[in-house]
This record gives sequence, structure tokens and C-alpha cells, in this order.
Amino acid sequence: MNKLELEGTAHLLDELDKKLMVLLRDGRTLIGYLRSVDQFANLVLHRTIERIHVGKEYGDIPRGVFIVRGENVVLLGEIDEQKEAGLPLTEVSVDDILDAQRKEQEGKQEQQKLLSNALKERGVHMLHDLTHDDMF
Amino acid sequence: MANTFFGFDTLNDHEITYIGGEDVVDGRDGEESEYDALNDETFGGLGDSAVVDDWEQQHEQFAEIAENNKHIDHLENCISQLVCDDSDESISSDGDIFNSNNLLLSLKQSLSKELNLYDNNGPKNEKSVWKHEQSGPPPAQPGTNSQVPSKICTVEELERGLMQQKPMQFPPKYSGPMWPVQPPVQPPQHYPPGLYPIGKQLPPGFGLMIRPNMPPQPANIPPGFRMPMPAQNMMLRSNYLGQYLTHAPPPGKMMLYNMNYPSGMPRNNNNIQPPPPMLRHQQPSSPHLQQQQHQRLQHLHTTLSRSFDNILNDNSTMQKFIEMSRIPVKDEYDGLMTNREKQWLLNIQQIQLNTGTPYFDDYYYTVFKERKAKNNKDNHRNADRRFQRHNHRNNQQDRQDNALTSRVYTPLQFENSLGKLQCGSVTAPRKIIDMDVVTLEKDSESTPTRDTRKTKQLLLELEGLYNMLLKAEDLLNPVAIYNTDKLVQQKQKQRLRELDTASTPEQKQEILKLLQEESTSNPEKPSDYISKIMTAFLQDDKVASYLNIRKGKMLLLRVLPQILSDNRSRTELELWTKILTSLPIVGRRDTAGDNILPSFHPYFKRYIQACQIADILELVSGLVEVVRQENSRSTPLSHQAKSPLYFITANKFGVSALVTMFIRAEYLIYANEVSDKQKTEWINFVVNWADLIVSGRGNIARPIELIPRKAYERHTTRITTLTDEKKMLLEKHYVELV
Repeated sequence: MNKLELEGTAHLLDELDKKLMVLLRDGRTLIGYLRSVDQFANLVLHRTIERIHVGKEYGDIPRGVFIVRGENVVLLGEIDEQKEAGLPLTEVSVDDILDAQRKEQEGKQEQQKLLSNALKERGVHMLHDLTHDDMF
Repeated sequence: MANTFFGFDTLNDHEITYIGGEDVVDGRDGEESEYDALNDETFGGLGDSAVVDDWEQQHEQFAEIAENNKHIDHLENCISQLVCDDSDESISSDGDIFNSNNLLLSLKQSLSKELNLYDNNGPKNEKSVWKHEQSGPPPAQPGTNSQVPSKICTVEELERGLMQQKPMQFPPKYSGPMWPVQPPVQPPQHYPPGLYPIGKQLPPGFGLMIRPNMPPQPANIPPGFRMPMPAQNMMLRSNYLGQYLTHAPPPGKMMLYNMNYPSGMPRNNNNIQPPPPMLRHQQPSSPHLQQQQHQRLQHLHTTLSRSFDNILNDNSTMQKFIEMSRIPVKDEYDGLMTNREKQWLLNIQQIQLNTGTPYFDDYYYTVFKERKAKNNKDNHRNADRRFQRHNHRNNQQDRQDNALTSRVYTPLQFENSLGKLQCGSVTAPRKIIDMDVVTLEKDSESTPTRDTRKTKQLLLELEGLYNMLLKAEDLLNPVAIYNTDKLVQQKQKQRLRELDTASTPEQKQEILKLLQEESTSNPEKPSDYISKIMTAFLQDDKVASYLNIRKGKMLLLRVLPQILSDNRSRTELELWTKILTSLPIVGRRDTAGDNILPSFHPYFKRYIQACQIADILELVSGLVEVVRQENSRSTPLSHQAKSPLYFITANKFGVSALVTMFIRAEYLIYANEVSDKQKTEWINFVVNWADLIVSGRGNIARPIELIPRKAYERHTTRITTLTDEKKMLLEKHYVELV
């Protein structure tokens, strides 16, 4: 960090003890204080909450301490506390947001079904949700 | 509730309880009559007379010792008088418990009494020795005087004293070997090394209550972040204090820090972390530096107090200050990662960076660094500031432009992806995008796809040529040479290691063979690669297609410097002929877009100036042919019945090429190196050229350099068939205005 040539670079060590939002590969969004990192960019998050967004609403599930394997992190960013206070989104309870999420998922699946049916009629075979493992 | 806890009876309130929960009070009453207070348990076995005699002997011994120690006791009494009392009498008005007059006087008294036992001089000596003591508090010497009293007070007394002091005295003065600078202002409090008020939570309004004569240490932070260093050292000693120490001072510092750097809060937050690593690189300060620091401290001291007053007066900034001082409340979990761990991580990452061959492992960054260094060197050499500013401004603009152009995010889309891509969701975290090959019928292949396919094919070929070019360039690049040597060395070392660890003799043979092969590698020449490139470039009619693409032009531009102008090889002649004949197709596109062709001119000039008339004539002969209709289907209408010369004159590069040839031809004729036949040929060409201009259909481009007037005059007088009109036009467009 003292090297001049490293100026303009970012380092996870600069983010320690900050409130960060971490986006994981499976789509989850975690918000917590970064306490420790290692050479694989594994993260230790403290006072973590999992935030689920559905439309203009969101819900927080308190999770405690998280250890995230580095390869599963898509990106992370600092949270500005002041901006947090003035979010245009409304917070709802955990049950409500999970409900909303489920409904959203169902809606998407139905759409996909319709789409794949239509494509099948036109002779195009599309696998969507299934992985290779699911097939066998 | 529970009847017992850990075996204790919880139900009844007893003063005394026995394990077992029995009610002993009552029991005791009952047993009193049977209880003998003077039993063996109290006094030991009475049957042992030696024990009884022993205590008398011991008592005698103690009495002897006591008399001997009487003298020592007296001393102890004197010393104990010096202990800090809770009473206010020993504490001076400004709260300085160590420098109070009473303390020093008592110290003086007791020590002088002792001295009197050994010294006959008596009161006189007393005066001379302690004279300067009586004048007042000792002069400020770096730490020594304050050390003396501190040793005498016991630790407990000191703690008591500390607790009594206002808790707002913050930050404390680290009087001790760690702190080299002794500020001229005597702070009201001395903290002996090793102790620190364990205050995790500072009162919320703390920032506003910094006293005017605050210790200048915090002001040191801008210069050097020294404060946390002693804190760190202490941290190593006092374990559990460690976490609090690293963060207890900084917020206080930040208070003052804010005033110097009124940037946003996150900035300050950042600064907590970098200082500790930075500290490792602090050099021990010399006396000169100390002096400087003194001055700096004083200056900062005054400015800080002034700015503080200003802030207090202004309401709006006051609010901001309050907001800024609401620092992220000290988190107990802050600093879980110690500096040692951070440094360990950084070291690992630096090790990963330290390959012997950065040119191969980290090409883009290495090249970027090199270019930047070169740029800086050039900029330094260029005393012209305007140039630097211009460059700098350009860079800034580029950055700004990049930031401003908002891009609509479209997720990546792939066609027939070979590698499987991951697209996870909450329900299926390891989902893979499975691409099915969608085969369209061949008839429906539209022309756009054919064109794109062609372009892609060309690009692919160019890629291959580029690879060869890069290899050729690397053979001449010193950085690359150095890195390749290193790589070879590393490989050899590895082979040797393998040789050592190889078990079977056959394996050893293999490794030995490899080693020999690698060490006797044939040195490659860049010309080998260049000739390969040229062969590929000149096949069929590829030149036109390559030059139609920007990448092709750039490739040529990079290859040209490496072509050795060897007049015996026909490669360059062929190349230039093909380029010029391709101008009808390529020229318009280039003028409209990239404008790279004019940069070929210097190379063309270099070539022509080594040329003979025969070559020029060969070049020129191809340009006059008119494209007939039967030639090819692909010639667009606009190109038919026109000679390439027509398009060449319309293109800047083309016309510059013509001019260059003109100049060279004139020179050669003048030097009598031209046969008559050749001369006629050349003159025919010039006439053709003039005719074309006269007909005036196409746009006439301006050449990069013009024909010198003298040469023009000479040449045109040779040409008898040129009418005046044509002469005029030629002159107008191509001749210098001398």
C-alpha cells in the first residue's frame, strides 16, 4: 500500500470495519461489517443482515456472523449511512417480504413455462431451470 | 426457584452457611457446650514441647532483628511521608502532583537527613546541593525530572491520583522513552508509561470541550501520525487494553483532524486504518526534526485554537462540526484484524506479485508502467509546460468523458458459447447456461452475415499476423529480452530440480535431453518473422481487404519500420504497388474515418528515395490502367472506366506519393541516371496525371509536401507536350509557393 505504483488500486484491507453490502453469486445480498479478510478474499461479516428486495419493498433478516468463501462474492460496496436513512424503499416484515419473494418467483416460473411452451411449438427446445445434475 | 445453587442453600438467609445446606446457626447453639475453643485445632499439639519452646526462641530472634531494623524503619517512615496523600495540601494549585513544592521539600528534607549522617558539612552543603530545588519547579528537561517523582509514588497511589484528575484530560501526555518530543507547554497531567485511562466511551459532547491549552501531540498527526505508535507499543504489553487503545485515541485525534481536513466522514474513517501500517516506516526523529516539530506544534496549536473559535461562533459550521463529530460510535469489534495480520496478508499478496518475469505474467500493467515512466521522462525533458498541461488536460478530459457517458447495462449475451457460464439464483445456485446450437437453414444466409463472416475471417488472419509481429518486436525489446532470459533461467533451475528428484534413470535421461534442448535454442531473428508476415500480407488480393480494416492498417504501420529497405528484394516494391492500387477501394473509407494512410508517407518516401527509375516506372504503370467492365463483378459503378490514378489524386496519401515520385524522378533525370525510353515513359505518366486534373472531375487532395519550385520548373521544361493550362493547374495544386 505504500508503493507509489499501487496508487489508484483498491484493497479489501481498506474496507475493514466498514459497513458493506455484499452481493453473492446466488443472488443474495448481505449487509454487514467487514471484520477480516484473507488472501482468497474470504470475508468475515459481522452483524450481518440479509436484505431481500421485491419491487419497492425490502425486508431484513438478521443473520449474525457470516464467513463467505471468496469465490462466491460478485461484488461489494460501501454503504453510506446517510443515504441508508433516506431510502425510497419501504421496509416490511420478514414474513411479508418472503411471501412477496415467493410470489415473484412463482410468477417468473409461470412466464418461463409459457415461453418454453410457445417455443416448443415452433420447434425450439429450451432448457431453462434445470441443471445437468437435475436431468439425471 | 432453585433450592440450591452450587450446593448453597438459597432459601434461607443465613449469615453463615455450610456446604450441605444445613442450618448451622442453630447447630452451633446446640453444640456450644461441647465445643472447646482451646482445642488442638486451634493451637496445635500440646504434647510437642519443642513447638512450645520454639515460639519463644523465634520471638527473641525477631526482637534482635527489629532493633537492627529500627534504623531502616526510620528511613521508611521518611519515605512514606512522600507518598501522595489524598489531602489537597500536597497537590499544587495547577493540579500537578509531581511538581508540587511540598513534595519536593519533603523529599529534600528526608534525603538531607540521610546525607547528614555521612557528611559533616551540614547545613551549608544542604544549601548548595538543593539550592536550585528551592527556586521552584525544576526546569523542563526531557522527561528526567518527571521521572524522578513517579518512581517514588507507588502504583496504587498514582492510580488514585489519576482517578481524581478530571477525566476530560484527554489525550494524555505519554511521558516516557517513546515520546522524543517534549512540548514546551507543560500539560497539566503526567501519565507514567504503561498507564492509560481505560475510557472506551467518550462523553458525546467531548469534542467541544477541548481545552485551549491542549497538549500538542494530536497536532502531530498531520505530520506523522505518531500518537498511535506509543499506543501500539503499549498494546503489546497490555493485552486486553490493546483493542481499546488503538481506537480510543484516534477519535480524539479525528476531532482535531477534522478541523484541518474538513472532508467528509468516510475520509476520516479511512484514515484510521492506513496510519498503523504507515507507522512502521517512521524514522526516528533527529534533534533537528524535533526543533521543526516544536515550531510546527506551536503554529498548529495557535491555528487550531483560532479556527476552533471561528467554528464555535458560526452556527452553520457548528452544526456540521457536531455532525462530523458524531463519529461512527466506537465499535467494540473494531480492529479485530491486527496490524500484524494485515501486514501478513499484504506480504502474501506482494509475494504473489513478485515473479521474476512480470512482462509475461502481468503484461499490461508492466507495459503501462513503462509507458508512464517514459512519458514522465519526456515531459521532464520537455521544458515546454504548455505541452504538459495540454497532455494532462487531455487525460482529464478523457476520464471525465468516460464517466459521463452513461451506458445502459445490457447483460452479456453469447452465441454458441463453448465454455459453460454460471447464472445462479437463490433456488438454483449452480445453474449453468446451457446453450443449444440453433441451426438455421443455409439458404436463408443473408448478406450481412456473409460480410461479417468475411470480416471475421480477415480479423482472424490479422490476429495471426499480429502474433508474429509481437514476437518480432519482443526480440528487439530490452524488457522482453530480460524477461525471456529470466524465464529460461527459471526453467533450467526447475529442470535441475526435477533431475535431482527423478527416481528412474530413464526419467533422468529425458530431463537431461530437455535441458540440452532448451539451453541450445537457436536465436531467432526478427527478420524471419517479418518476412513471414510480408508473404502472408501480399498473397492474392488481401492487401486491399486488410487495409480496409483499421487493424490491418495498424499492422502495416508497425511492420514498415522493421522492413529493411533492401532494394534487391522485390517485396517492398510489390507492397507499395499493391497499396497504391488498393487506394480506390481503401482511400475513401480512410479519409472518412481513421486517416491512417498519410502516416505511411514517411516510409514511402524512404523507399522511393532509394529507388531507381525502373522501380518507379513499374509502380506507376499499374496506376494508369482503366478498370474495364469485364474485369470483375465486384467493382462498383463509380469505379468503372476510371483509372486508379483518379482515386489516387483524390486521396491525400496517394497524391503525396505522386509528388514524392515526381521529385525523385526529376532528380534521377537531372542526375542522368535515366535512359531515354524511361524518360519518355515517365513523361507520359506526368501528362496523364495533368490531364486528369484538368478534366477536374474528382476532388484534388493536398499533398503532405509540395514540389519545390525549382524542380518543378526544370521538369516541366523537359516536357514539351504540356500545355500552359495543364502547367498552371499542376502548379496550383502541387508546387510550393516560393
